[in-house]
Amino acid sequence: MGSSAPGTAGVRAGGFLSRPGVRNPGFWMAAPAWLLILVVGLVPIVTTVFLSTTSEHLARPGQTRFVGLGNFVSQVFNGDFVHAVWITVLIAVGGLLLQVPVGLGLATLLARQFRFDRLVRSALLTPMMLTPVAVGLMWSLLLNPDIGILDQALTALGLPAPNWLADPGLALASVVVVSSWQNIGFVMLMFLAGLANLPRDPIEAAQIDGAGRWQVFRYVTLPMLAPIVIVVVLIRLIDAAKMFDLVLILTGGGPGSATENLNLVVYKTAFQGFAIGQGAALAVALAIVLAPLYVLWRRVTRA
Amino acid sequence: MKRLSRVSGRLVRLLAILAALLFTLFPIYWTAVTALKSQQETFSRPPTLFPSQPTLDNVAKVVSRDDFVHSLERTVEITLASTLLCLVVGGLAAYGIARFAFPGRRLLGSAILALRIVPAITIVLPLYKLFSGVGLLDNAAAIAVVYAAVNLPFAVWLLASFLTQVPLDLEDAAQVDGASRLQVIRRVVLPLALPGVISTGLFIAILAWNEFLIPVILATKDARPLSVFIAGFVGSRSTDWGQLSAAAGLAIVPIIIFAVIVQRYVVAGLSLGAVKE
Repeated sequence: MGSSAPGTAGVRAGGFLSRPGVRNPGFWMAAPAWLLILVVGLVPIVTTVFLSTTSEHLARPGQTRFVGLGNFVSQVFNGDFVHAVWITVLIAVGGLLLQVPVGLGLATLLARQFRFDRLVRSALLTPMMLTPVAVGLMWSLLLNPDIGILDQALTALGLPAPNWLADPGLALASVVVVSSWQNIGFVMLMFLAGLANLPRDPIEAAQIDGAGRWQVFRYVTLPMLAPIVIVVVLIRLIDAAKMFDLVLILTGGGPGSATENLNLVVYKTAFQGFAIGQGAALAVALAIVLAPLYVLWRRVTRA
Repeated sequence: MKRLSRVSGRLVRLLAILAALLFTLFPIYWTAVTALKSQQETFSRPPTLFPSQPTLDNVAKVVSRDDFVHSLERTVEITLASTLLCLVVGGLAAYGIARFAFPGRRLLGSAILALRIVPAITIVLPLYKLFSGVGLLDNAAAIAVVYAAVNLPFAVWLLASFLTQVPLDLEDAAQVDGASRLQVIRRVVLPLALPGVISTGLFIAILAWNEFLIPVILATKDARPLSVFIAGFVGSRSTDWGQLSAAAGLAIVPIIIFAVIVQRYVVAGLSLGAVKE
């Protein structure tokens, strides 16, 4: 996979047009993409890194000065960032505990063909496509202690009906449940694809050897699905860090900072606290945290 | 005995599927129903599962708001513009990468990947500063360009995978017959890749429609799309739940329609991607 057209390598006569490959139409076709990425992607990223070394603050324009790694020290290694990492991990783990078993269960249910199976699958995938802001509104309606149907049902059953979004622990649980509601379809889809691509031989061999259905599932199918579980774990971790719309609408990161994940802490610092420099440092830290996850993800999906 | 366990197994499966469907669809149903209820009925105890006197009042109140209409227009504009831009730029890039070896091809691939990895806020934060510096803040066109860039990696990935399904031989044959590269694209590649292009476009359009983080930061007044508009319904002291539900419902109705159209492609595309990516 060379990077210049064959036969033109190494030619460096004067002038742009005689450079190797520039006459290559592919170069010009890719040019607009380059332009877009440069202007809207790479330049801003570099700017963020620069901003992270300043004390820029929207309420104090003109007083920006260079602080080097000062923002990192104050923001990243102190409470806020670490707390946000913790919350992100909780959201991811909580979500996984819900989504992997249920997603896998749904996938096995839908793996066999039956009447309306496509319709059912489409229905289960719908939450994934909805605007997260609208989903947040939907669930704040459901979870509202006064008119929410959940609390009313609980009260009718004689059970305690807490204010879900006002208690730190319950708010976190609510975020986990709502984001799971939105994303189980995706997990189910991945397991469906995985199940469909399983090699038949080991399963048949086990069945011939007299293993029961549950045993086949537990000792043959499940281990073969392990790579998918790993991918799902990585994706959910990344999503938990990047989660924004849903949390902002549902809890605003609260109560306090009980549901403040990584993305939210960046946003709040920069745009509610107006500390752009510090926010930039947090954004850089977020990118640094996510990078190895993505690398791992690509590594696993290539295998 | 075996017959009974098979029947009961079937029953369990049916119940499980029904439970899943109920959990999935009930919140959507409830929101729609609340939107159609009168003020008093919303607060009735016990809550009614179906509005006894359905009213379009809430919907009318939301739809007649100037800022609603405005944000809807903005959303449609930005979605259309950014999707088209993304398809054209991404399509060209995907075709170029797939068919040619040119300098910087590898680098472009890495740059596209890097853009996908970086969290959006890392890009939007400096854009806020940059845009406000040059007066581009609250500019719908600028926001559409940002959308296009952010969705470009995904578009290129999808389009490239659809392109690989267009056989190279056909293009070569057309070129042998004397067609220029541009004609080859127009007459041979595009018709064959059209379903893929359309699905990619629908996908990107849904992403653009749902986008929130970018506009909540970069659109301060005039350019605010629907997602930012409906976000305004939250947090007020005395929430008008009827209107809130109507607003949320209105925002997701187009998506549901889109989703129904795109379902076939979503399942095929994602399933392939899940295992091969």
